[in-house]
Amino acid sequence: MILPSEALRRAAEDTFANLAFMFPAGEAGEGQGEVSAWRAVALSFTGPLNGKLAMKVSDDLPGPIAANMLGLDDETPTAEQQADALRELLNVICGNMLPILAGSEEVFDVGAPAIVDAAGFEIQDPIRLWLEGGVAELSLVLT
Amino acid sequence: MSLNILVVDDSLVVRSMIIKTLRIAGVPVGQAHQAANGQEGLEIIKKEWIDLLFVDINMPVMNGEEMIERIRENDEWADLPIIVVSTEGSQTRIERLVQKGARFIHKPFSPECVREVVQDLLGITLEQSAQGVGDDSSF
Repeated sequence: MILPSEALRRAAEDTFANLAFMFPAGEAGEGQGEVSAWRAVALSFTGPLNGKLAMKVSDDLPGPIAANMLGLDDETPTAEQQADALRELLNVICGNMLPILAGSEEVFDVGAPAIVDAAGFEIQDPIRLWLEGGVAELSLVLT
Repeated sequence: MSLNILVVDDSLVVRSMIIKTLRIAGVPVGQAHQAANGQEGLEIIKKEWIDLLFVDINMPVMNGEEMIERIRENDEWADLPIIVVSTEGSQTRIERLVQKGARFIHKPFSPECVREVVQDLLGITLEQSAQGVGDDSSF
């Protein structure tokens, strides 16, 4: 049986690559990876497993994520597009993670992802993805 | 030939991605209508001629499953070609949608995948787009 954190990492890496065209960039060097500001999004799901999935990304990521998803070359995505892209990214990560965790026959109800105030938003035992252009942290809490 | 499409998804970004991917895939898109949930989508179907519907499952107000049920119950729309575009991973739920005559595309999706499903569903052969497909890009 796969560990929840491994299922989350696999789903997140695949989704960042295939949806946002962002690929793991290895570990950060010393002094790197200090993030001054974050953006956060979260959702909950119910079914054979119940839980919450949360993601924080460094503040420099939402623009490139939205631009890549929308195929924008020269335009800067609006704040609404950036927020929408983050919500959809987490939604797809969740949709890809649940079958890895519970199998493809199980039916889940996945709640709508919501942008949350990142200031003081602590996520539990996160996995960290170093991506080209920024950092993402994801946390899965099964209840 | 051009196809009037309706894309129903609560994400503006996803709606844009689907329309863009259709064009990259060489699907001749005529009018591209958009709705943020099933209820809004039904209102558009009442007013506009739609050749092909793309619909998500999880949406507020009215979800995709209910929208498809309403469409299939209506004699006028019963044969409308429907493609569900979703993160849904449950084969059980996907089977339910297939039994209602819908096809399924899993997110993230590639132009090539979209092209194949559209061709198969509509029984047509699409000309290759100038932008091409099969470049391994996915949305």
